[in-house]
Amino acid sequence: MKFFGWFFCLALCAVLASGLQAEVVWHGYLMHHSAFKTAAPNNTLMLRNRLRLESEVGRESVFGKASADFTEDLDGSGAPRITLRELYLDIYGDWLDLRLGKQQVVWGKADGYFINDIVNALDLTWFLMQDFDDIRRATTMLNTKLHRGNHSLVFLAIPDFKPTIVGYSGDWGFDKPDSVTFLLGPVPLTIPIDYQDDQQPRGSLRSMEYGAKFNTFLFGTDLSLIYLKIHERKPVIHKSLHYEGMLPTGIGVALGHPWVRFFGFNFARPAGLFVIRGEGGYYPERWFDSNDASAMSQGMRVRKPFWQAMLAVDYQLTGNIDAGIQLIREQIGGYESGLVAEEVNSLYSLLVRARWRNDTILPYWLTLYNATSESYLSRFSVDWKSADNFTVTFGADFLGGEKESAYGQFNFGQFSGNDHVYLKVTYNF
Amino acid sequence: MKTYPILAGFVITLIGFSLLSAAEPTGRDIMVKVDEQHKVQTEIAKTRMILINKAGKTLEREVLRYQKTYNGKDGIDDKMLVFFEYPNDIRGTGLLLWTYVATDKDDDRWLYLPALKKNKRIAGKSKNDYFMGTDFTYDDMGGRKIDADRHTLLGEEVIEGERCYKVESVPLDTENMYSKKIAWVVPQKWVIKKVEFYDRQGKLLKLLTVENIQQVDGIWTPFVLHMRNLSTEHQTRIEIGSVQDNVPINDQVFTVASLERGRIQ
Repeated sequence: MKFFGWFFCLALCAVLASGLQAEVVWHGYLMHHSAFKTAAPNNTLMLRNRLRLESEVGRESVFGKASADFTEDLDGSGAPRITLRELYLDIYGDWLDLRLGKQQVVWGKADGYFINDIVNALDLTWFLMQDFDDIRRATTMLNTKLHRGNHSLVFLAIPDFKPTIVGYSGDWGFDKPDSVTFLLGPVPLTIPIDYQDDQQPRGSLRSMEYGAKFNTFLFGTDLSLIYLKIHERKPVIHKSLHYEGMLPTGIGVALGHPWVRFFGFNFARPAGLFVIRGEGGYYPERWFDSNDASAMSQGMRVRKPFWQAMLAVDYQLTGNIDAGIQLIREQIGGYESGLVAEEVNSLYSLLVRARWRNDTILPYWLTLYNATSESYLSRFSVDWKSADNFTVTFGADFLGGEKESAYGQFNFGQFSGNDHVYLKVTYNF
Repeated sequence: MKTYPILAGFVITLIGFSLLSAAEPTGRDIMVKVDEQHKVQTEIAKTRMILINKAGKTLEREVLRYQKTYNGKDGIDDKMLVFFEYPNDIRGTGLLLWTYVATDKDDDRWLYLPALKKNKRIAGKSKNDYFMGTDFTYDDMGGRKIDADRHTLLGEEVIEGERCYKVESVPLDTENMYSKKIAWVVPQKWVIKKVEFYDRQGKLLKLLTVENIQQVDGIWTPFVLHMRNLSTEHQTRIEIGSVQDNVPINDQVFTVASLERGRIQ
């Protein structure tokens, strides 16, 4: 598949460059990224060199872009690798834009949280250590935008499914228990788990995902309405009991990605020195793990409506310091006992950014606090732009709170041993 | 008989006053002339910004700017779309700006960050913000309306061999970062040659000098703007690389959809 990707890329460059006498532009960056745990400085979280190479070719209304990473982990945690990040063709018209190929689509107004921003799956192998641009997994799709004045209508057709990658081992591994306890009547029963392969949707017309977004500008407000029919990005667990006689002896865990429908909206509106923004999402049905024996016939899971909402205020404290507060609430509708996830999940975030010394020193502080699990992520960093195209970033991430969490819930506490400091040195070319 | 000299004196005085008023425009007249002289329907400009710190170390930015005047249509004064082309770490960053005729209506502004792949609405009230690390505020870049200040002609001075009107402009709003500006305007060309910016305490904060003024399609256009911040000792030199005035630009260029392309077609 990678071979065909590269072949397509080269063919695209060649055709565009020769046929359209187009200009080919190469750019990218070289980055070194080191991260060390604060509790155990000898324990390296990351020691990585990366070359990002991007090529853009095009003329007038046709452009192609390819982006690839050449990555080497210096701590020997993996072999050097090449990753094709994005590869797409843009065609621009007066009222219609097309983007075809492997791409990232970012919808929504939230900072550091994913409510409307769910078109692409995530790679959580390194949790949130990587930039969001690296966390999102680019997916092959057709992205069509009809636009007129301040209004636009976007259609997505996604034939290629990519699941969210959740690590189950290493420093950023999520819990993957090898046994489970549930109530069989009044008696708690613990039995081993037999994990089966992730059943991913096959590339066919029947499994093609699709979505639409309408954007408008009304009375000074940016407003978007969203509809998506996609497969669950994170695997949903289906459990089945294995018996010997009358006694359960094991539990089979199958991972799948059922269809979900999503309705969303977002808005942003300035008011003096403030910008008010919001985002909402509603799933009529989503699968949730259950420990209740009545859910056994459905694979120890139940379908419930689920909604998410975010309200934020950004404020300019001074000419070069901005602050933003976000309130996020998630809720499972028709909640019943036995559900593993909490009924309500509340999160708060505070983001402060400054631009000092003519934008050459850029401090950044983001704190995400999950009030339900009483866990937090606090992230500090300072970018120092000492010369054109050269940036040095010093930073630290602190995580804390309750260690235990339900599968699929965002709990920073489970990584509380991973407080770390990091250094990134980047040269852009 | 005695009435003739009185009448003659009255007539002479009247003629004198009218001649004087024709020769001596008001401060506002001068600033209107400056605005009208450079009033173009559209402009496409490639600009290089050189940021010079106290130690003389330089950083550069290159931007491509599209601008269109709407002359009050739907209340809009003008629209501007700017894309950064250099340095590479901010390449593709875009800014869309709509300014309105009504002085009490804030700008609408959107910022597109290619690293985040999304546009962000930013507050339009903060006109005192410095533009992308330069020593120019959004207001300094040309977004300020004439009647937002009270203009007074202070007299005439010769700057680099050219006779200039010296005009003081005092902001009517108390939130402005300047207490006053003094501009030197070259008559006939109606271009500004130099501006002094005074802070709220009345101390000289910044000094703008304009160099290399050339005629482009009959319009006197400054090709170098040099701003010195006397407080931080930081400087910004803006060099206009190329300018195209009054070329047709589709309205669709000045939309969020266009901003999200990350480039101008």
